[in-house]
Amino acid sequence: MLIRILSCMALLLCAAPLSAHEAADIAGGFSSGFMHPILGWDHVAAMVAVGLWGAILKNPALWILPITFPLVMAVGGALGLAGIPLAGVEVGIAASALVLGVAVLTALRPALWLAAIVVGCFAIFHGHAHGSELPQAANPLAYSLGFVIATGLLHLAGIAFGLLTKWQLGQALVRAGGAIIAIAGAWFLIQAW
Amino acid sequence: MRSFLLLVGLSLPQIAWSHSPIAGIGQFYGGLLHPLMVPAHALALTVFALLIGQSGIRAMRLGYPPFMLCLAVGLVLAGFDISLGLNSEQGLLVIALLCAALVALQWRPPLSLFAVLGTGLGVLIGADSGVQGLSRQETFAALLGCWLGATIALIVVAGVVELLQRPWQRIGVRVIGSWGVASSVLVLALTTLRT
Repeated sequence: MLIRILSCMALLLCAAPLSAHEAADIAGGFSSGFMHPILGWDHVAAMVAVGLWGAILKNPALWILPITFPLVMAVGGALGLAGIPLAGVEVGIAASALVLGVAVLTALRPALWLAAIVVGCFAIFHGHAHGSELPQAANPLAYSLGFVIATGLLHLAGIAFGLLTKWQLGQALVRAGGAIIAIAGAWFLIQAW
Repeated sequence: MRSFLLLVGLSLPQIAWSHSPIAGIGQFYGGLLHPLMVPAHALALTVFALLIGQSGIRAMRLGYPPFMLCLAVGLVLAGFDISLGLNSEQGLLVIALLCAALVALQWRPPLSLFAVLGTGLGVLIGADSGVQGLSRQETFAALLGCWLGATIALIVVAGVVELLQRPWQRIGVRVIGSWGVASSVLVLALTTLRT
């Protein structure tokens, strides 16, 4: 009996390190937020495609699209937090990879406002998905900073790759990247449907 | 069962050093790093610094003095355990949202706004940086460290941003501003919904 009581006491003591609003929470919140877009291939494909498309559309789309995306994504996240349902979030995310991939593949050049609206519409779906995870985060602010920064860095990766369009071979490579993203988007869409 | 207990017992000493992530650095350095370790403080300070740096020297002249003075006042109040009854995190996020939006849109606000923002930010960060269970000397060291840490962070970040004059560098600052807007909106929405 004594052994059992001692076991229980020892196990209860072991639980102590989990309590904290220390920097461990902040680091945990930031890293889980940072990894959220990176570990989801549908998010990665769409974010990189935004950067690639921006590079194809050139200035000022090159920077307006990556600024538009997080601003509108925050609205989607707030909708998710408020529990306002959004029909077909996963379908919307998958469709974003498909549509943006096709836009890169075909080097589509719509008016800047139209490109911003397309990117903004898809950002709402991505934001909704991230936002619904926020209340469970160890530190919501660190989590949100993590996933916003990761999203921005994925855009940057797309822009960096998209700058290859300055060369003839690079243009083919970028469009091939768009094709891969579009195929992946179609696959995500089939799975989400 | 006994060997299990022995294993558990051996694992217990780890608890002792999990108390603080930077154990043993002392109260002054703990205070110095405090504004950078609390996400709401770090975010609000960073975007305010981005805004001041983006707006130039005149904004620095008007923004720094009220911030430094009000930060000191807030820290003294926190040191004496006097509560202002404010929700510091929400207040800081509102200021962060405003500053980040101005940075992302690259709008130049009236110069008097820098004094207002500096005052609000200083008071809120100071009042939210209280320490408990320390001697008077340790409390003074922690609060002095916090004042220096926040002031240095603000001046250094704003100074670096002011030096960035190339178009792509200015765009980079705006992109970081947009990240600040997104984070602030999300966490403000969360805290508002919770309350």
